[in-house]
Amino acid sequence: MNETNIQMTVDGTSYTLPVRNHQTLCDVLVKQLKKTGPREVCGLGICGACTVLENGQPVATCVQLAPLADGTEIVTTEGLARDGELDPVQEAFIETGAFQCGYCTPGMIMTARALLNENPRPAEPEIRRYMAGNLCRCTSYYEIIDAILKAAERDPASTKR
Amino acid sequence: MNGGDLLGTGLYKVEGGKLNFDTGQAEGELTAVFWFVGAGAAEVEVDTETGQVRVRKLINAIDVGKALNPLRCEEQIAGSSMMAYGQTLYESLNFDNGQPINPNLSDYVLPSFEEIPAVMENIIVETPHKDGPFGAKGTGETSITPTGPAIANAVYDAIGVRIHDLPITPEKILRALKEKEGGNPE
Repeated sequence: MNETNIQMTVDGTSYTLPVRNHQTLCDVLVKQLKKTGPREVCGLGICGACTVLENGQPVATCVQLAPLADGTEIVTTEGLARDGELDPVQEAFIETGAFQCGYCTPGMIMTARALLNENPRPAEPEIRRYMAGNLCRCTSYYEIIDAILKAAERDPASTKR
Repeated sequence: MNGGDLLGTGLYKVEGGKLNFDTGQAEGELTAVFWFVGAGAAEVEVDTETGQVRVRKLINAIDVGKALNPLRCEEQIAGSSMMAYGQTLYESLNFDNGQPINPNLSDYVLPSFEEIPAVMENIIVETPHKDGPFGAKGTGETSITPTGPAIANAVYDAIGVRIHDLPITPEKILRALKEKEGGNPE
């Protein structure tokens, strides 16, 4: 009884797979589904580098047990592009140069996406508050704020996901 | 196209870099390949009730030799300044009998979006470096140096007490303020 079969949709593809009961969702996404977006760094749900959208909500996958993801729909950075077109958040990150080493970037992009889904026109203080759960060590924090403001400008409500 | 090994060897001899240990002076023109040259300034707000320091503005002016990629240069300056900012106000690795007692990101606090200064300005200064490619030189760590002193001096300017060890925590500020008023810091 240390395995559970779960069904989840990841980046548009449905998977049914056995997971160990103590396995984290991050572990399943990275090792079993070979996703490179979520990255386990602190393992405590503090740094945000493992963030994905689970049923539209940003979730730290390093502290979520995989069996609890049964029946959910998950989007990682790899599934954010639509029809070969990058998400406005991704575009804005590239244009603004909102990264250096890039390790925190997938988590930053997913949290930014969640923010814009909740609030398509956030002001800078709201961005800082919402993004505070994502840490960056080479600190392109200011460029990331610029990128989110830029993405918000050209993010029509129709691209909500 | 056939794969193969890409091999190459190169040799670069640094001019200078020789020290006379008896006199402490350089033998020749240079003691190092290049020096980090830069300046920093900070505008802070100190809450004397809580001891909390908020940096409103942080400015760095850093000599990069030649900015080959100006955006990346600015980010390198921001990054190293922000590491120093963390060390100045938040980061402290604590030990108990040789064992680190805060070995994770919940107890060892890094600056997040909410802690960073409201405004940060990074000014690129270009003084061509004669030995670097197109006059460029390293810039990744230059602004680590001025950030701490700039914040500490701004704190002194604001409340008249000097904190001599980092990080400048609210506790240290309150103790120093009490001591200054002649009270018992304990």
